Amino acid sequence: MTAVIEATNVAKGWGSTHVLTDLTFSVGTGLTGLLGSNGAGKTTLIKMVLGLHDRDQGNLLVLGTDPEEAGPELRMRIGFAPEHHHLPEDVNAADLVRHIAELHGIPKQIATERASDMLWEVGLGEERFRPIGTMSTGQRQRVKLAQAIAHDPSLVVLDEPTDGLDPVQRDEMLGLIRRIGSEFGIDMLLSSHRLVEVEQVCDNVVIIGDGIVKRSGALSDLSGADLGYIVSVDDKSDELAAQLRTAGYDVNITIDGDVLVNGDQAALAVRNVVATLGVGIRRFETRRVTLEDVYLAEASETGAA
Amino acid sequence: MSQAIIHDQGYRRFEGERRGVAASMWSLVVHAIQRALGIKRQFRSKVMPLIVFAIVYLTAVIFVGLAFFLKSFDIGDAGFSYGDFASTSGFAVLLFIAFAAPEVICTDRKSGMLSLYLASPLTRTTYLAAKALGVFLILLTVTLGPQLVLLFGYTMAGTGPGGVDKFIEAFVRAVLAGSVGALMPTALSIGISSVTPKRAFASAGIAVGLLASNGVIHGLTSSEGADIDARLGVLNLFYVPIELAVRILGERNDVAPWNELATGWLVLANAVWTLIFGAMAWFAYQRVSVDR
Repeated sequence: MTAVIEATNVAKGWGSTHVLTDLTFSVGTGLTGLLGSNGAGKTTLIKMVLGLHDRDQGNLLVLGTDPEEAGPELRMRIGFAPEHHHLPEDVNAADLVRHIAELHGIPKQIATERASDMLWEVGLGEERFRPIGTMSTGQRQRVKLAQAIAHDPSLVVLDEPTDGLDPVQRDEMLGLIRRIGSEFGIDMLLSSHRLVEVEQVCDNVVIIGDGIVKRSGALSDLSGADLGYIVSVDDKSDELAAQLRTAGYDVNITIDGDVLVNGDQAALAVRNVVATLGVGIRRFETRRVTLEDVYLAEASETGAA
Repeated sequence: MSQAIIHDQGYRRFEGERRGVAASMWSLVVHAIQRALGIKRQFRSKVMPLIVFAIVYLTAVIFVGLAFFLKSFDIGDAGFSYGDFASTSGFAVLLFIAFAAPEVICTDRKSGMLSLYLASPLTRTTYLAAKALGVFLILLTVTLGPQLVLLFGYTMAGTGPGGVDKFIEAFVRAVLAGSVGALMPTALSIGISSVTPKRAFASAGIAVGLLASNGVIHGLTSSEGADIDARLGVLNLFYVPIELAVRILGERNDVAPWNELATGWLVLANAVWTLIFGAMAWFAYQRVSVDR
């Protein structure tokens, strides 16, 4: 696997505040989610990836280059959409996107064409000559996405790209991001604190917290494994849980009355107990590890420590 | 033969060669000039530059017109010399100085563009250098442009320099004077603009700084009977570049403190002020936050 970003023992702090103490991870091609709570150091890491902050120690390679040594040349090949929604109010979207593309080394005429194309791609074709000040938050997010991809970067870094969007806009934006990552073949680093978003669009994930990498790898490796079963019956949930416990299974009951049976071999036992009790089954499905399970497990380990 | 046309070609890779950092800087220079002049912006953004251009260029055209119609016109005696023009247009230039740099510097911080610029191949230093070049070129349009109008106009009217060698000398002097008239004000306006994201504060700071230093120093040095060292004139931020430009044009103001101040002091003052304000901007931009 070609590493798009490779960090080894990276640390960064300001004065006595250590934001990142020891980051070691490798990000491959595709869409990678950068997860962490607010203040975990996601933005600091992004700024180091862009070569805007120098690290205190460790090694960092982005697209095979050290950002500290080759910042301008590296940034020529990176697209970035910041978290904020502030853009020049009196500039139209096409001019802004063209200007950013030119800054990244694209000749003016080609930059003009690509700006127009990218604004069509993100769904702002008809709006491209409107001043950004007249645009909604959702449209501004799309403008930010268009300017990040207009210069055909090898890597796009998106910092909270769905911030300020309503659920419908968020789904549309995630669809766009997924499309850019898969159809356009651009590697992407998506910083977010929303687990569902990362799970929805990303191939890989890096979870940071307490200044270190908690987990990293392919999403399919981290989540998706069978945890057991979710059983919902129309009566006698407590008895079902008790008999399964007696049979040696780890069982919990949710506040909705669903019975969570851990162990991927529990299906037969559940069927037998349900038959014995004579109750109807409303739901019986495999329970898989979600990104939320992984994230919460890391959080609880941290709390326990 | 098929008549089919593919309208949507999908995402296309850029296969050409990317231009370098210098081209990125030049792109920012052009953008800064367009922004300050209100190009590709609403009409109200064009009002201030149009007013300043109207004042300086119309004045230059009137000077040239008088030279055409008054055949015995002596530009020096009539007070229409290049140096006279540089002095009298000073306040219009001041308007531009107070307007241009805040427009191209402060708005980037307020609008969040700075974070996009610094995520591009530009660094804080190259960003600032490009902005400074943009402001310098903008100021040249009012410090050099009208001087060239005068030079060509007077030459055509027969009151300009006689002979090719004299014309070339006058042209070089005009270019040097225009550049000097724009250089220190560029550093000053960028230095002051770099400490605030608020355009109005920066404009007010520049205008007040220039006018106050001019008022105080002029008041001190020109009061009757006052025994004030002429070198105090170097603290007149407004007039130091103008007086040096006037001297490059081969003239000299005959009022205190300029009539007693050596040209060497003016050169030194312009250089030192340029360095001070340039360093002020550079240090401010090494520390400025790009979280917005």
